[in-house]
Amino acid sequence: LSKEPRHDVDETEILRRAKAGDSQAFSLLVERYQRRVVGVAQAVVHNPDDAVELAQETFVRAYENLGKFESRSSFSTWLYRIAANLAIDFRRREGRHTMLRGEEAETELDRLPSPRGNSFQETARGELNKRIHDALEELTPEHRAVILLREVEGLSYDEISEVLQCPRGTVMSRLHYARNRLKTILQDLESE
Amino acid sequence: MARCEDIELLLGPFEDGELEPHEMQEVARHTATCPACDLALAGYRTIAVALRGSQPIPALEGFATGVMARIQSMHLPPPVPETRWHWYDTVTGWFTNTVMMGGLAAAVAIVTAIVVTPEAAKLLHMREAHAQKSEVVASIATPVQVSKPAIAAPPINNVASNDEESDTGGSGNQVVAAADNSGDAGTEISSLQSDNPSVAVWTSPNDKTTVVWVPDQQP
Repeated sequence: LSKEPRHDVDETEILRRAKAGDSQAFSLLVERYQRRVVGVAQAVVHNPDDAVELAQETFVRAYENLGKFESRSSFSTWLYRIAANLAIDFRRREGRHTMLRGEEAETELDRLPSPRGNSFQETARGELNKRIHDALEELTPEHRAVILLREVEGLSYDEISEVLQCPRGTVMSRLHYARNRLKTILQDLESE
Repeated sequence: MARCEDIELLLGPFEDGELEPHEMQEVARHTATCPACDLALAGYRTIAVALRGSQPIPALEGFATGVMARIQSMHLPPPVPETRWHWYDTVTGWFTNTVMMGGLAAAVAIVTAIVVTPEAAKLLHMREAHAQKSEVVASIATPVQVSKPAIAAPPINNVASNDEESDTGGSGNQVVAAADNSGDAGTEISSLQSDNPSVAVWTSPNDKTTVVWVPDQQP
């Protein structure tokens, strides 16, 4: 998975141009952060299709409010916070986090991109992914979001705190709980 | 060596590199010698690897194009030009600075009025009292028009001031002295009261001052 996008020295210039109404410059920002914004939304809603839709909405909102961005935080953190807020609202509205159980979850897993061929490894990976998916579903949305933002998206504690708008201590305690809970559910993974 | 219960809470942040340097060292030292905590740390790593490999990666081909097309189809106005926000910031900044400077000036004035002015008044009164002491000449016998060379004031042994009541018990020999015609307001004597002809009590209601004049004791 991609790491934190490198903040090139010209990002300030791209931002300035985008603020001045240069849509080409804004398109560059979309390309630069699209993967991470989808990842942040996915950490909260735990559904890739919804995450892509939310990411689109995130960039539209960002474009509308770009003039108000004042560089108090980094542009990426500002963007992730918009994505997280939209995703949290979406989750509350739709309650989608409870819908990916049983057959629905299996259907979702079948749609995941996979390496070519139908080897034993692919099957095994599919089963493993399903188990991890189910284990994540047993966490509360708050615990799941924190551990996915940390482990999958690689956000620091401070970034998670800012994106989810909760204290750093809460991030740490949620992370501690989520890790131990997943360890308990997936304890046989450790012995494999 | 730190206890496992203390270290357990630090294992996750240790794995994430989110501890202070001295805590990182402490956890590293502990896990190097504690198989249980080292195993717990390995468990966290296994979970992390599993999570990273399990998350579906949505296809994002054409994503940016789609976003831009949506923005254009919504006929959204371009972001507010930076110059407009700059103008806004300049005006609000000027207003904020003005208000702050005004507030600061008002605060300084209030502090001056509270602290400095009473001190200045006190100093002024001290100077006035000193001037009065050096110029007043009192007569006890009868109401007199006081003039500087008329009677020499006895040496001052005891001076009570600022509304201190005189304790001479005087009721009889009450003398009212007229003001000095020299025109110096500091030398005005409004009253003289005493039973003892060698003791004078001088009060000045204008500046709320009472002075008791007592002659030197002869050896």
